[in-house]
Amino acid sequence: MKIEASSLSFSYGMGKVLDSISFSAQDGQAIAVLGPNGVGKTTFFRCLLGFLKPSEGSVIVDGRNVNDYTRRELAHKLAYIPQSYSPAFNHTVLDSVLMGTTASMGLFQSPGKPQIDRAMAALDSLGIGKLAHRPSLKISGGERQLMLIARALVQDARILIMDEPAANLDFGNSFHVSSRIRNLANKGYTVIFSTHDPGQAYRYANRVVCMQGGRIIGDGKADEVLDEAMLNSLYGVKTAVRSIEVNGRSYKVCLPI
Amino acid sequence: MKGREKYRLRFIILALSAVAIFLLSFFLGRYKVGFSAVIKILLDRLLRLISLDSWSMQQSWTAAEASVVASIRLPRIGCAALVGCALSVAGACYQGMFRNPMVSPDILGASTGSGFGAALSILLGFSYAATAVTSFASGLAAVLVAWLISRKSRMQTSVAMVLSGVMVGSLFQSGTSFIKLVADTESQLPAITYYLMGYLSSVKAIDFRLAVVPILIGFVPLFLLRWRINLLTVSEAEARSMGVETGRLRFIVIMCATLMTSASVSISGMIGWVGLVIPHFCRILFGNDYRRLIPSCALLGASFLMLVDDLARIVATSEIPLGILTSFVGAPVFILMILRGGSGHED
Repeated sequence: MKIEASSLSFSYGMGKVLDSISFSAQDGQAIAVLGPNGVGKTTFFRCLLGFLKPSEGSVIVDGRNVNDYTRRELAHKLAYIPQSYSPAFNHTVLDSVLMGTTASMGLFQSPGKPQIDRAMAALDSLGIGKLAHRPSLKISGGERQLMLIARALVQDARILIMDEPAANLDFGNSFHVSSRIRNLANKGYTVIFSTHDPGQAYRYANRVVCMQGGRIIGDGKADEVLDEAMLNSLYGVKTAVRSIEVNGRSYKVCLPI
Repeated sequence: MKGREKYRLRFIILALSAVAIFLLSFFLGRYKVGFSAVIKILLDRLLRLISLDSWSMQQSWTAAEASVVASIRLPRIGCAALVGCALSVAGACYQGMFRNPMVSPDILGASTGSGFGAALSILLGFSYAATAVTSFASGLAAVLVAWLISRKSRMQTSVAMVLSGVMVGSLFQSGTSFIKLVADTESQLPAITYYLMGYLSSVKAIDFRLAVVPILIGFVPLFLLRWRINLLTVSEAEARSMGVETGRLRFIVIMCATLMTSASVSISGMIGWVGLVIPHFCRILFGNDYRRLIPSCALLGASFLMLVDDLARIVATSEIPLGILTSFVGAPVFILMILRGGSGHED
């Protein structure tokens, strides 16, 4: 399923946040969106999700303008995974995942056995099936992020948009969640995620989009786009990028100096 | 599943207690009526109701007994159950909608609006039924004004709604104070004061009939949409991305909860705390899932207010207004909630 933004611009009042962005993504891509704070990443995502109406240009999802879909139709195309989950009430993990099935049910329908089976399968596929009956606010941050991914999976959308999925996670959880993201892309999902860690982009993304001043200034394979010069101009910090070999595989690391 | 069976058992116990409290309530009060007379009179009423007066039981009770059970206690107990149920369900739904467990049905001005309407009708000397209708309409008007103001605001929807609700509520509150100031101190002022404290001692069958329709019109959609109300408790962006038209759903929930609140206040006056405390208890007993929360709030709310009304009847020689009794129960519970951290965590 294809998602495409063509000369997308957006402004809040006078200030232009997005300046004619053109971008398109296809199945199997894990796209890391990088850029300093306030560069328009969140606004860009909100436009992709159809929450904001662009002032110029358009977002086309599966051949149709994103703003022409009903929320229910769009839920079968796009899923959104927020940076943090803060519900007003502490639902169980299973109930939280079941919320993802809402778009596939009738208006007055409640989840029954088929929905519960799907939710359990999604939780199991992410290795957190045993947490199903725990309160969602009493599991670890990494587990909660996996729960949100499970919720996106039962929604049956093929394009997953994630706002800094690993930002609040510790070292280990960040690794677990990020590898799941890459797995999803390998299974054919389109995953678009923002991150502040260039290391994650090298490691888990097969494409990198660099944003600055509301524009895309670099788009392509991480190894090609995300070099020392790019990191320097993105973050204003002199950075060294090196490859290290571990067990015959080469990994890229970057270091501010 | 273990959890589900636990909830099912609790729900059955709750339903049985509601029926038991309903029946028990007929025996409490100054005029004593025997067990068999109560049961027979109730069965007789039920038969007449379902057969449209063509069947009835053979009369083995006195006219006084019939009058106490069917004309005084039945409407009163029925209204207590109805109001308790309506306020609790409305409270639970407002809480979900505003993503805040401390919210009560007063939040958008529904009850202060209804209180103002009733005070105004008493001042103008309206008939009994007209007072109820005016009060109901004024509650709806208050919420509608609050909602329209929030629509015009550029702030986040729920913040704007709470702020305009508080503002409209306090405006109606001042209106009520003004009416009390100019009301006749011999007859009108006591009537208004008594009304605002919440009472069920003078309800008649017509009150039940007036309130049951709007309360059902509010309850049925909320019951049918109970799964979707869960999605209003996560962030707006998440709910929309999962396919929920949040604006529309929120409007339906507000309108239904307001119908129920205004209809309740119009027959019983302002009974506080029920809409705050009962949903909280239900969250502890049944979790935060609205699939269970709505039916359990309906039953627990009804049982609670029937019990409080029983208490009002038997504790003192002159009746204590319900609003006072419910706050005696509600305030300590609220303090407990604050000390425990406020949110209804599951187990």
